[in-house]
Amino acid sequence: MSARWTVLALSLAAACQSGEVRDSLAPTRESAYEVVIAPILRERCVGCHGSERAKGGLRLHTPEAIRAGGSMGAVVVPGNVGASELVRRLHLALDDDEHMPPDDKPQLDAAQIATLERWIAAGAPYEGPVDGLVAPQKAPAPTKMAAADPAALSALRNELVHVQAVSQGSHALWIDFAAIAPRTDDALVERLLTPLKSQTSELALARSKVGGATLAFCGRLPALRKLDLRDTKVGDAELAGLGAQPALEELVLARTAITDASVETLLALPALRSVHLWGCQLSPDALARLRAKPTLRVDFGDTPDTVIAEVEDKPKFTSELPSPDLPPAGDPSAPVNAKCPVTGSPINPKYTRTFEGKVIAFCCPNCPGEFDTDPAKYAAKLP
Amino acid sequence: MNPIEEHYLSLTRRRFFGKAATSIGAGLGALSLGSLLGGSLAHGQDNMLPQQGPHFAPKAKRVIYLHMEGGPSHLDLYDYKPELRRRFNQDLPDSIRKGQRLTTMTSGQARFPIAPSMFRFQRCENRTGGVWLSEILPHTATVANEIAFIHSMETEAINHEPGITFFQTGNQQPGRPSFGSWMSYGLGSANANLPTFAVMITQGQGNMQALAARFWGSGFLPSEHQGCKLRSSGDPVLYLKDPPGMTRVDRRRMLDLVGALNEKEARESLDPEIDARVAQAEMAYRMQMSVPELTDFSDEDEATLALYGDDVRKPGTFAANCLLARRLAERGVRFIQLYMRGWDQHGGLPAEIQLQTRAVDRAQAALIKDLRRRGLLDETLILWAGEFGRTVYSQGTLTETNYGRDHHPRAFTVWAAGGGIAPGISYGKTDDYGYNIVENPVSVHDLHATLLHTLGFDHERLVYRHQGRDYRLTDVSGRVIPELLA
Ligand code: HEC
Repeated sequence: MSARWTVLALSLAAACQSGEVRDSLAPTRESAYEVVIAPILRERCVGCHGSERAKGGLRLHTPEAIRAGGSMGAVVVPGNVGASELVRRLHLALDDDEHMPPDDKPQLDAAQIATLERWIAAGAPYEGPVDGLVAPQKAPAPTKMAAADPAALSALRNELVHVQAVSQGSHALWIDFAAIAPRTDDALVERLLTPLKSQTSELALARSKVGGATLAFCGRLPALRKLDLRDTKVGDAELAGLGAQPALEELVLARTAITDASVETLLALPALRSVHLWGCQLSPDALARLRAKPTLRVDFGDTPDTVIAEVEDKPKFTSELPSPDLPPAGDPSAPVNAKCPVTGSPINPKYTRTFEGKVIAFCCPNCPGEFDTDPAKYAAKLP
Repeated sequence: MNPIEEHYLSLTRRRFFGKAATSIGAGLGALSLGSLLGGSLAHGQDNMLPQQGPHFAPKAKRVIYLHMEGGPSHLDLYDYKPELRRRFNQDLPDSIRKGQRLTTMTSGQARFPIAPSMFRFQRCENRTGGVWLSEILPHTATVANEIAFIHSMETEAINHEPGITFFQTGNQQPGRPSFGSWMSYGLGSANANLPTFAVMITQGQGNMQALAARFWGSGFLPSEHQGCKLRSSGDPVLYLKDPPGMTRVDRRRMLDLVGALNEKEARESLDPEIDARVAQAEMAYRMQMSVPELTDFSDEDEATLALYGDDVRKPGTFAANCLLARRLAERGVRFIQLYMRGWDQHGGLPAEIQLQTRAVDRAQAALIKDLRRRGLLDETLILWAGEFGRTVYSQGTLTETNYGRDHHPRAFTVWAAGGGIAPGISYGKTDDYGYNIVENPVSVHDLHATLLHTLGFDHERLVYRHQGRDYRLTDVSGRVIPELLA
């Protein structure tokens, strides 16, 4: 499976380089063109629009070539997605002759199209980062992973444990014990998962009775990326069983018995980038040590509330602004009044009468008729 | 799968559930059995992983969809228009209305007087220069930096029925599967003891429109994918309890006996419906245990209950349903649909909308915070949306502190948060009247396409063949909006 580039903000790359504990804003410092855009074009377009061939007079293999455009001129208009021929062609129906890539060739997926659009919207820069465009982490290469043993999958299902491929075509598994959490213990986990050791990628054991044996077992799961132990009795001694599990990126330990003694265990997990510790017994000092690791996002349930930057004064109501439909002052058709002479409500420039050479406006379609019954009386109320 | 096989498989499933629904009752017909059937229906394929599943690795594993029935006023909640305060009681200019159709509830009015919101707004910091929220959403303000506000939502419907149907199914006419049904079909169950698609309803304070069960219906998808309504009084799920005098042991013995007979029959007839029927009865048996445990809040600590507010102790309130939504999410339920009724404020809006916000504000903020601290927000997508917004002009009498608003489909605000959604942004813009979109319009199809993307689906490939064509939630359009993605 080829690497997919997609729009991700909260990724390892972003977290690593931001130096912040929780900063999903941080874009990659690398050139978005180099790491995200060029690979898409190389993979899907350059075969026909590159150094070898220039279909439609267009080459897309270098920044200069992209700027030069094709036989019909520019194909990328920086900052203007709608005017960019390149994007227009991607969105055409597959059977449209102008659709790119031609219908018999591998197509872009929605995320790739969205990525190109985001880059163009940001001004199509050839250097530097673009907010939101980063290289995704490559998932553990599924090609190297063997397919799961069907008998082991059946065994899970017979116990009502949820098991599902992380995505279509992948052998990596997401396994969730939610349905039988209260009766899930170390022995059950080990029995069910031993044959699936190399495929287990996300494992949810929340609310279960697992302990040290399961953690030690998890420490030996080579592809385990995410582990959810929320609301379990897991404590420091148990957690230490994870050792330096190489792949673990996300760990949920909310409402467990973890204390300061687990700081070293957590810091020793090389791939860990997110840990949830709400409800654990951690001192401010221990938290600070965890948060000092720039690649690790630590949630202790203490996320501050959003800052209120400004509070409006009690609003006052007027109708001082002129209606956008009003002819400019001085124009012969501009009404002389702002308030309806009949009701005193603000005027609607749609309803007018000309009286003694002046244009008078009313609030609604009924008032001009009322005005006609006694023009002098109402005219007296005009400014 | 071979399309012909697929066709026959779906035929048999449909037939089975059609029968089951009449013989056992709606409660059981509504149970989702995706994964169980996936295993047992396809004889010989027992060991394979289900055919469906996300196209690519998803950010969100489940959805909590907070539908605000009636059409909340974007102008009094989320879309800050200070200039309108200086246009009080002026007529809506033709250059803004642009011939927009109105409902017959106001099309006869002689004037369309501008009704600025009477509420004060406050600017909450976010990643796009801040978002202004109404003073009647003080708790939502505390989590504004988790939320993506879409100020440029538009719909094609101007009345409730077609409007809700459009948001729920991607089409204004009834008959298509609900969003939750598509998710049940696409993702399957993650907890074989609970429904895959759960529905809960909170009665609102004001004018309420009918809520038809077809809003959570499965349309042409197999009926196992329809939403299962959890009721707030009496038994949460109908027809689940054993009749008086029957013990759990009796029930077990009965199921074992019937099961043995069924197995014998299944071996002879090879009819897959028999396996499915056994699986369904077994699931109901398990739900007899799992549902009471689910709805019993006694294991929640005081601090958590306080977070959701006092209402949480009253079953059926929005607060109680939000807490229940969190408990369902924790237990692997894929799609949790909450309805909050009563946003249809044609008159007396300022007073009525405050009753509504008092019911939802604290609870929805609590839901976000509670999911966040439990490590669940990253993988749970929350959507807050009504079926349309409300007009800038007053329906009926206008004073500074009293006005009504009619339905307005052309521009309104919805929000999303959690799994895969960019936190803390404001997207799209309306004009000074909050009447037309001036930047980045988002159609219902675009919204669905974007949400499906966070769930790992290419919206053009999540299809179901029916009457000779492939149907999608997004019908024939829809575009993933990259700016909304994390
Ligand atoms: C199999 C070959 C092939 C591939 C792959 C391909 N194209 Fe093309 N492209 C063509 C041909 C042939 C033309 C000229 C005919 C036409 O204008 O439709 C063309 C024309 C174009 C034009 C119009 C150039 C002009 O100014 O006339 C654009 C823009 C374009 N392609 C973009 C792309 C993009 C972007 C991709 C990759 C996503 C792509 N193409 C992939 C064959 C290809």
